[in-house]
Amino acid sequence: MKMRYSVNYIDDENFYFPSTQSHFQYRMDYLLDSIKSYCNIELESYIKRQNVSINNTIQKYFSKLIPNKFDAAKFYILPKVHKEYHKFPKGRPISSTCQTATKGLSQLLDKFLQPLMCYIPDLILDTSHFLMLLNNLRLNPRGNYALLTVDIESLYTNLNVRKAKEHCCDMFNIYKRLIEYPVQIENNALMRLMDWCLDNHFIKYKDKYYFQHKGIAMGGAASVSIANISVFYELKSLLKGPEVVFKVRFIDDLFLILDMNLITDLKEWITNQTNHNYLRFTYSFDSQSINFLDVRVSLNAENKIVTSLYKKPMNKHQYLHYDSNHPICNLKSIPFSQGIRILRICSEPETQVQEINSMIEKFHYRNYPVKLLNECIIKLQNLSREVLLRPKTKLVINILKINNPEILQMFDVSINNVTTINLTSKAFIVMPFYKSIYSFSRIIKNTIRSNIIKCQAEEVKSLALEIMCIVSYCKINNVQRLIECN
Amino acid sequence: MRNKYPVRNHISRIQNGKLYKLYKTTQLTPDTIHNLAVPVKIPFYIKTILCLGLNYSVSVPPNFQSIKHAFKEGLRKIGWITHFKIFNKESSFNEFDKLLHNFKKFNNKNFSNFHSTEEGILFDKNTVSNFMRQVVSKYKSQPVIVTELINSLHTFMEENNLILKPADKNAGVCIMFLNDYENEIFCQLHR
Repeated sequence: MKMRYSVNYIDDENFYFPSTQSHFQYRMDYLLDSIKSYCNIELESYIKRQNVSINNTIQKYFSKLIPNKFDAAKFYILPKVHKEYHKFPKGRPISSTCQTATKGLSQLLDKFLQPLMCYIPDLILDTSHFLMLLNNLRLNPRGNYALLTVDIESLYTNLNVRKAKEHCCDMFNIYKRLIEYPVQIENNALMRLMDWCLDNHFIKYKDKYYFQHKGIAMGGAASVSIANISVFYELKSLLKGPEVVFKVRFIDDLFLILDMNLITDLKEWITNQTNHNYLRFTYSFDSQSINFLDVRVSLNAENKIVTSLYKKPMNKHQYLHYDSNHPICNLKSIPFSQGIRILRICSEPETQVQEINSMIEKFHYRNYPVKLLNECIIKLQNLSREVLLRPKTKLVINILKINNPEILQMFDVSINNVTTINLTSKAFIVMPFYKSIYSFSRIIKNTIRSNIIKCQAEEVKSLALEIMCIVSYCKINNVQRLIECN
Repeated sequence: MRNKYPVRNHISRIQNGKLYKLYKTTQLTPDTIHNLAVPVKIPFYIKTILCLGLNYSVSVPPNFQSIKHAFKEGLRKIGWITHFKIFNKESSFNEFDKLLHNFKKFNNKNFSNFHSTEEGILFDKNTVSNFMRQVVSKYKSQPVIVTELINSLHTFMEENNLILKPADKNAGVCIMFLNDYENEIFCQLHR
């Protein structure tokens, strides 16, 4: 017989409160029972109602996405050494949800919520997306503008879970017709999925259990999507008006360009525009230059937007050391990809050259051979910024298609709606990597090929030879892991 | 008297030279180690290891058993793909199926569901042993950072009751007293 378990919520100001293993176990049993009963009862009626087979229903996923072994999320902190401290720095709390019971369900929830983000007008996905939008912006050369960045304080822990659930369901209800999900889900099933994911977040540190009763879980698979949708609804009536010339948001960071001809007192305007029931904001503004994400955005004399790379002062540029036991292709690609990042962000050729030289110097200190770095520079010289800013990922293309179709037209990008993944002609062989085994990848491929060739049946041989063997390497034995495992 | 740096006994002269070369190169970059356990002095060899970064992968002797297992798994995949091709059972799966498949794999980590196709048609019994022979013949190693160095680092941390964590915003590595770290954690959890 299961015992009823109750916990007194003493202090409502706390994000976590102490719990016990038996409380954790009780809640997990309850969660599993709830999933089981939901699948059994609802599935039958759903199949009858919709006249579909079991394979077409979402319920088949629910119980299958519970891991055999699970525990509470692991909690740890990263000391904020870049901020001033007296004896010991404050820590950034992190909860790793890798082995939790709700990991799979959160991933499933994210599959439903992520496509909804295309319909959030001001949302940006990454720096490239931000640069694409900035590139498309033309300001009045004689105008008077201010650059403003706003940050929402401790967004995840301050979000109202009940409201977040409502916002996600509302948005799903409005846009589900426009999205082609491979599997259909009803509103009540989505709500149930959110209840399971958001109401059962336990964390653990050294055998002590804690329950998060405020905000959404940091590190949860669906947390970013939930936060994005919730903030969209919460800020709907804030930071808007004819004064706002340009506005974008990356989760909890906002970037705005304001027309100062329409604002008399900027501080007062910001205070009025960031008045919210439970979200708190910090901001900074400047008329010429401001930092947002990893970009320094500046306005020149003709109000043309100039971008350059912003490096945080605490950044130590600790790139992977060249002597590390990593595949050579990985080591070769790091300077090149960092170079691409510089070319994409820096709009002026002089800054590009300056930043690339500085980057090369840092790689030199990490033991990268001069020959490799020179080759990298030559390859980078053949690339143009326009090509690098071309939208590539499916999600960015879909967002641009809805919110900024003119950018897609400018780059002449066609939308290819690929919803399935074809893996039938590729075989991924995942190996542990050892630099000390000479031509490891070649040995693997050659052994497989020579065995296929030996095959007697011609049909099988030709089919097997068509399969592309891709050798990929899993991460092994980095210093941190070795210390923790020792 | 106890040897203060037991690790020195395990490093050959060549390795010591290589280690010194590594130390010299890491000295050119800004200091990435934050010693929050101030009275404790961090030895030179520990500084060298930590300057390489926590993502530095240490050269260790290969685990031939795991290589063998991974190779067998690769053969199994090829066997199944060929089987599906022969019987025209190929089907591409959507993102939801991929998620389900990953979970199935995670829940049955050691499943060895071999199909007769790969044994009977594709690969003879000696494939794996031949492969392993080749791998062993190609192995040649003189690791710069020997396992003993890592062990001694661990001993040093344990003796001084220290803990090692990456700093926030990728600002380097923090060495701190375990008590201070736990105090901060409990402070956050009981805030």
